[in-house]
Amino acid sequence: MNQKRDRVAIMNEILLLVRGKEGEAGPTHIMYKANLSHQMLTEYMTEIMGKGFLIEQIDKRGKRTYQITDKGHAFIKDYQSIRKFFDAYGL
Amino acid sequence: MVLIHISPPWFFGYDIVFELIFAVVALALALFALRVSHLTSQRSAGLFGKGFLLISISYFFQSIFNFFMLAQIGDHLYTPFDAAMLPIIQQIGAYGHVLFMLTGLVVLLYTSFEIKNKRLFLAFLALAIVPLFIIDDLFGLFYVVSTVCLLFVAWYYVANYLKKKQSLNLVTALAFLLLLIGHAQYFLSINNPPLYVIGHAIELFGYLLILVNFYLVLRR
Repeated sequence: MNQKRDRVAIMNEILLLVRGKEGEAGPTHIMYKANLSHQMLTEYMTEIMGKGFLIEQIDKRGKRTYQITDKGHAFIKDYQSIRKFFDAYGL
Repeated sequence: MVLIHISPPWFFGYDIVFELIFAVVALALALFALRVSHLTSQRSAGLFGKGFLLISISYFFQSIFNFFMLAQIGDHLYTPFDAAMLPIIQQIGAYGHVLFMLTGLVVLLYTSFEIKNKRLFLAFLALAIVPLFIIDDLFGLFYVVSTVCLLFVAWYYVANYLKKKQSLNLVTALAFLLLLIGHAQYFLSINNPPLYVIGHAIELFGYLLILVNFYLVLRR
């Protein structure tokens, strides 16, 4: 179960990284700062975007960035409660 | 099925209020766990939420059962049903309570084992529920099986506290220990009605601790 909780911690870390870059960050920045492989980054980004925490934006030059959404901000806000809940009930 | 009156007469009605409190606390915890599961895709939080949702539904059934038990005993109480319907409604309430509670507890028990095996879950469920349809003493067997389930769930939370030694884990462990003792009291109360009241009181303290934990989790 700890492995899965770490997964939630990584999701939170990615969102914090994007928020720290004024709400918008590129994949390379996230990959290096969160210490993730390209494959792991793809998996996490798919999940995070699927939940509507981040949105992908591609500019005219094909540069990809991720922007944090209100849902993403709400997740960061709820993260401590979620973590405490996992700890309290051994989930 | 044998329907037994295990509550002392003066406690009729109060038990319904207790059960509604248990139902509401269990529902609040279930909804929060399901929301966490939705946000994080964590299977264990989803299972935990479903377990408490089933337990909450079970308490609503129990309060219905006790309400109609009260309706049958008190002549002044208004019920929208014909008197002949009361035993049927009581049976629905009794079976609803027992089946939802045991399924909820089996889900919590299964979650505590931290494994993913559908066949094992179905085996636990079958072992808990099938005997209820074979024997006459529905409540006797129900209290034994639910107490055994709670024993293992409480064991998990006590072990979790001993491993982490955090106040949140301590409150959780105490809450489940109180729920366990409360259930054990119900089993003994079949021949001793005052223990039914004590069982409800202990269970109330257990749910109050769950509420305290809930507050500690949500506090920023």
